[in-house]
Amino acid sequence: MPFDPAVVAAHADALHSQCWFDAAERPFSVGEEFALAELAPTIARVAQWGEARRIADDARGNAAYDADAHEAALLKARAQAVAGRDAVLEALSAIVDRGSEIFFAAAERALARAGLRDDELSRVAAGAAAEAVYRAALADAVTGREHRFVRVGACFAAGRWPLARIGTTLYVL
Amino acid sequence: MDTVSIEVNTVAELAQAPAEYRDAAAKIVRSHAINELYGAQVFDEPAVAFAPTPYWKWLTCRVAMEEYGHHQRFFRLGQKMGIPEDAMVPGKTDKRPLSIFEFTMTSWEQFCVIKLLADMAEIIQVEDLMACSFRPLRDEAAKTMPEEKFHAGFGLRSCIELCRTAAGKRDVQAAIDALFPGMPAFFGQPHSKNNALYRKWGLKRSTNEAMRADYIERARVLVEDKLGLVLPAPA
Repeated sequence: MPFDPAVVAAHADALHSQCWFDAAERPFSVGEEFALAELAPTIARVAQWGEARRIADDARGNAAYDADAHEAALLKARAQAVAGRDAVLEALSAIVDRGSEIFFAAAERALARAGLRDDELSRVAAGAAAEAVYRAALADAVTGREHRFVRVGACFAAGRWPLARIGTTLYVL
Repeated sequence: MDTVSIEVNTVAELAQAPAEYRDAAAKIVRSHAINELYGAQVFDEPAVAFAPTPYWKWLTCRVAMEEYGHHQRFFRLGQKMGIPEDAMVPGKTDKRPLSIFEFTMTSWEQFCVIKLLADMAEIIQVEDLMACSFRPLRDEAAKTMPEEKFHAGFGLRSCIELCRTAAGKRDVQAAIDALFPGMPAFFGQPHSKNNALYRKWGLKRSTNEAMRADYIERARVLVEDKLGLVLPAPA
């Protein structure tokens, strides 16, 4: 499949209308449980923002993180082979440019709703969302909507934060 | 050199300013646009791979986005001022980024020290711009400052964390030894003609020598008083 910049643009256009981090700390709905089951054999709900750092800072999550980073690099190489480096960079930069304030403000608001103010954790959450949406747009533009990165991006867009995959368990705030 | 009392409130007003003022303002904007982007490319983006866990990787990813955002701010201001776009992008312009970016970063510890010491240098430069006679530049400096302070604070917190172990302390000291001697060059040459022009027009307040001395003292406080390590001599 060729790299389709219009698909990336659609992800960028949708950034404003998503509910980033809104569902954090809430119990999963049946629909969410169904969607999350597609991402890992076991899902563990993280009930509080205060737990997020401990789980995201667990080095046992590195193997899954590194595997995703490797997959993202392969997707990017495929996109660049088809469309050229500059075109891919320009298309994906829209996610970073337009998402930067959106993700950070959403994380700050969600933390504030939980009675917290944490400039570092807000940034970590915003960084995680940016990375996930970037990868979702890339995967969608290269392989289509069935890619796991697109599902992870949808999980963020629905207000959740998948914090770490350790063994067969995905921890989700 | 005598100083000239001038206040330029908008980019439109800049067109009426003397050519020497316009050129000096353009040099500063161009330098910030180039170095903010180049720093993100050679330090912040690659550091994601060195970060020890997803938590630090995402934080580093966010910091890289913010540094890129700083480039965007100065780039957009430069566009409004009529600076050619290619003149503000490393690799597309002949103007070389600052020499500190020639350092080859190979570890997480080095990245944390870069945030600690290089972002402190950036803070001193941006502080000086916050009294700049060209108001659009002053405004961009003010917007940039909170994030620069967070980045430097991140450098300090991560170095303190690393220094809790003997091995970490040794690695942070090694990174300081490798990085710091070249850092004062960030502030340019003594008796700089460019700096004299910037001060003449109120675009900057401090001499390169004064900023360099301020930087060395602030770095000493961070390295020796906060971390309990040794600050090597500047090159």
